[in-house]
Amino acid sequence: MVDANTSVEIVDFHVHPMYDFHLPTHGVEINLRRFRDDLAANGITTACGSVIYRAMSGRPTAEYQRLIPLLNDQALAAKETLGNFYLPGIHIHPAFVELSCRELERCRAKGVRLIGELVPYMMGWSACATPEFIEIMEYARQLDMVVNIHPTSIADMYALSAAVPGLKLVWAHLSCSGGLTDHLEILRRYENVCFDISAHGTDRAGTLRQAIDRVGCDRLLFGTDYPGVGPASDIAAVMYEPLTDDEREAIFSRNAKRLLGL
Amino acid sequence: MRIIDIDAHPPVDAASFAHFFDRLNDAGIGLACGTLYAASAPDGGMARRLNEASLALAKREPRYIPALWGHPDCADQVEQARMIEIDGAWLDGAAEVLAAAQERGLPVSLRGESPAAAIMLAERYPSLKLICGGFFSRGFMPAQAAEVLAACPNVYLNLSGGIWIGNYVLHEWSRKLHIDRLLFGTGCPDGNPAAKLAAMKWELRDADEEVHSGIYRENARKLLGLEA
Repeated sequence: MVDANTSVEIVDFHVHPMYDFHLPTHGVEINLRRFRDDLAANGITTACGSVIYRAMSGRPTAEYQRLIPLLNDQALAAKETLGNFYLPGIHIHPAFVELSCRELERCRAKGVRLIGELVPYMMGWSACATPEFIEIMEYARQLDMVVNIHPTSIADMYALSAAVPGLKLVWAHLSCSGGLTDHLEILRRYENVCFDISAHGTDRAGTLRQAIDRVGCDRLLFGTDYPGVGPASDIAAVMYEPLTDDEREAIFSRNAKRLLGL
Repeated sequence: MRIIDIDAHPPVDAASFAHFFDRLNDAGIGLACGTLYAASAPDGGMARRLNEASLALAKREPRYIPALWGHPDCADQVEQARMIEIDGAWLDGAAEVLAAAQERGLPVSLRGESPAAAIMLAERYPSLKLICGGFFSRGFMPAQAAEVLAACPNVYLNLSGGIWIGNYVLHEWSRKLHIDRLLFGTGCPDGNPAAKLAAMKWELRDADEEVHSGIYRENARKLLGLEA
């Protein structure tokens, strides 16, 4: 655990404030206070991400027309409670292009810069390289917003990465599902693309060194996926990798701050 | 405290041995117990060669506690081990290895096993010490692990399994499990030792010192018959 009193700045690019998928099974209730206290106890200074929880997952597609603004309001409300500690990420849905673009406008006007993490499989969609999703992403690019997306199929990830040049696109979970080789190739080909390292990017020691040697340190973002995943392991893993101080700083905070304009 | 990793697997390449143990040490782990690394369960010939290399390594590396692959073709090597690792696919032919391990008091670490298979084996060999639930196990969720530990006093739980570093999982379940039969493991190199240890420390942040010393060292030390 990083000493919370040290001067290391850590921006956790990938959290979910109201996540309740496995925690109740083990007798734990997540709330915003626990969310903030656990992350802060591990040295995390800023946390970014979308609201997901069981009741919003796996609903009939039509319901997301109502749920998308609701989830975004919940993220904005969490921001009210947590202040500068939390940067909300909002949801959109490719089945509702007009609504999604309105939500981008509405939330951007309230200072929101981040879309996601979007988790397509929870909301009944699977492909990003569709005309509908690309239209929304084109508008996100115009609004200078950043989008964080849970990995889809490798082919779809290549296709979206190429589809909207200039989109600030962050795929989640570097190296998940054995995808490291393709993830690094996507980073090599598309300079507008980043990856966050949450949950899987440090499963195996040496992954970050390998990634940096291939594509540099400027497009890897620290994340935990808290509270789905504990907040300590990824920090320790970044500290454990044979990285320079500059590379660690880039991953822990500099890259996220640059992308989000902090 | 010199932490014992019950599930760490040095590389086959002898030139990398020192680096492997140095990196574990960097993560805070002082002793490593495990077979030499194989990405999948080796055949009999490969298991024998890995075992020979493992024993040679143990002679010159004090941070290594040798574990041998308990392939049915390697029963004659068992007596030289501190621990045996058996792949689930070998169990049908492993009677000789298991009997030898039981007779000599050697713990057997299972790989690719299910909770049901672990219980069946523990009941068939009641004085054999079995280590279950590690990195490659199947179906060892917390409730199943608790059930196996409760049903079988000769079973130990290897905490290298991914579920045990899930947020708040061990934090809550450490109160419901047999603490004296929990063993710290990383699955290194498939598991990241620094991440595993940090996650474990986070999960056990509210546990008392006795729990820490048991999980990180004392339970494994006693099981492996190491000096205090």
